Amino acid sequence: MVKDSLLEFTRRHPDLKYVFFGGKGGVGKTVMAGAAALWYARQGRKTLLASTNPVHSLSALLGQNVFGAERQVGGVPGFYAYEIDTADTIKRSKEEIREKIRWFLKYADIPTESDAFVETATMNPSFEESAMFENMINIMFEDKYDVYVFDTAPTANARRLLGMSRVYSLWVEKMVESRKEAQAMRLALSFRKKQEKDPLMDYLISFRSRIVQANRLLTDASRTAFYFVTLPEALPIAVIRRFIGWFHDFGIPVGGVVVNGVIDPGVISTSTSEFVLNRVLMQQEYLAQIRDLFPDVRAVVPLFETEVQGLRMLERVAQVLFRNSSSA
Amino acid sequence: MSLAQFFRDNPGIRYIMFGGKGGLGKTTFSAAAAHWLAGQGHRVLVFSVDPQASLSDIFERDIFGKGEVEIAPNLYACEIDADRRIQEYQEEVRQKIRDMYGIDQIPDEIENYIRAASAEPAMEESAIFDQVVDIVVKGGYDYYIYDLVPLGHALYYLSMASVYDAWITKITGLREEMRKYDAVVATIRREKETEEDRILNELIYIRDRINKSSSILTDPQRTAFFFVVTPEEMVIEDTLKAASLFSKYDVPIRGYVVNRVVPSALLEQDIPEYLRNRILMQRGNMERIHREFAGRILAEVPEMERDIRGMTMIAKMAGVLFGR
Repeated sequence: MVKDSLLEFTRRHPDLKYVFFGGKGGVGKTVMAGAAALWYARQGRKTLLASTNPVHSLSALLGQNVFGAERQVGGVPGFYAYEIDTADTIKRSKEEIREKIRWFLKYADIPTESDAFVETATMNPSFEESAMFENMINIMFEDKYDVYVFDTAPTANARRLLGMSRVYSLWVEKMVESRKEAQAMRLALSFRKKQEKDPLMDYLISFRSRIVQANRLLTDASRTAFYFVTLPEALPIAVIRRFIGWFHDFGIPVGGVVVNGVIDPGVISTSTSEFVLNRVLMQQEYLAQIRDLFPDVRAVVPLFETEVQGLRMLERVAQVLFRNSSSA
Repeated sequence: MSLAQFFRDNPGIRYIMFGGKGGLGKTTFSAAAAHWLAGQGHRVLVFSVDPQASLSDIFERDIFGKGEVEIAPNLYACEIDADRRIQEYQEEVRQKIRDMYGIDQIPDEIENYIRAASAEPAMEESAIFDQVVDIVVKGGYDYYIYDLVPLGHALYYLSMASVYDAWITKITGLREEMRKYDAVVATIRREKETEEDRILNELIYIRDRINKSSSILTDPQRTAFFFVVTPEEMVIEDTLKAASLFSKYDVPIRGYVVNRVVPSALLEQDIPEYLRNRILMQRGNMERIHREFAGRILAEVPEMERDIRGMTMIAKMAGVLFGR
């Protein structure tokens, strides 16, 4: 069922730099992200495996603490992993906002204590999500790596996270506009008629250019690919089906589908337990459905005999994930 | 104790939530619990606050955005369509503007403003939250079952109640101060209710709704939160982490349900290596689960031969979950 394998797809897209794995919870997104990152590193490309999920599992997967800082993994050259510290990001963002609001109040001659305003702005429920998005963009813009593999939050959030870049531009556009008005007004009322420096305006303009740049990266099919992972089961299939549609609407490049957890029907013999037989039959039924629904299956990954944990197992997953379609 | 016993001993419980990492069976258990409670003669609503909801798929009925749909006698299900809710809200605002100014066409400038406001990142959450409050405040059911989003985000959702509360208290404070000045203007204009009054009243209304739902989330008399766990190392780790975070928000965790336990009896049969290993691995992890969650495990559900979908399978699952 694999026609254009992940290996071939990757070769046809030599500039791929931002790789995401999405899908329903529990389908193996983290494992696939880990295996892909390891594979890229083995190809001699400096790779960062980053998690923006509030509940991280990279450390558990790699058997090594990668929380809060970029660390090299298991002595593999060029393989780095990083679980982003949300609390830290939020603290820093709050500090930045505090700075800006203080300046603004001073600039606008508003004799009020800024703390109330800062709290109002940073307690907004979307603040955390915005901070995480900012963090992801920061990592991308630092440009220290050849390849970035993101172990994202479950897809609904990923979609919104990426979609948010659009929203941001809209907001910033509005703010820049009203800033310009305010500035003109101030100039008109000013006694000295001297154009003053406006750091807030400068910030907004640089922020907007960042967003435009992020949007360009995230919607560029030569540099970005979003892969969807599913199991041969009804619910995960239904979920990715819905999300592929949404991603198309957002103009985010869908790289294709990876099917995980497949039991090799070759293990079946006349003495095979009925439990296993039924599971294999169920899987075959859903595999047929996958074949009909998704023309772009990039890899079929078997159910391994043990849980995937540690580099040795990841290596095995990587080999299957990136094998030729002729051998699949 | 069993899950069935829990409901017999706690007849005051009205709100049920299954929490846990993605893919452990939260939706399946939500559907099964709804099925069982409805079978006991209670009027039950199971609804999803997850934008990637799967209730439609598990019930094999398209219920997305269709309101409260009767799936079986006494059993209702609902999948919230946040986008539609936002659109309805926008239309409401437009209508108000049309009525207020007696115009047919919304000026472009205002239209753009309405769009920008709805594009705010928190809008989707707010829309879902709002609908949940509507559903719960309206009443009419004996049991409400929340099919929650995965761990990290469920926490986010739960904490939102307290965040919103703090946020609005803050804004209300600022508004109160502004009202002082506004009142002077109003006196001059001889208006009774000032503009600030109206905004403040709106905010107070929102805060009261939020308080109502956050008090539900943290009320052990009415709410039961169950954690789903599977005998896998990473899942156990995450569950322990999450459980301690949840208790910080005063969420009443009433027990744990262990899912996907592969029957040991299969060891006697001809099974592939992966399954043999999995059973052996699960043994160690089961010991740990019994140690960590001692006395709080309400059910152990075996790995099924196939995935749960459709009423027949849901009924079967309910039988296993609650004991026949």
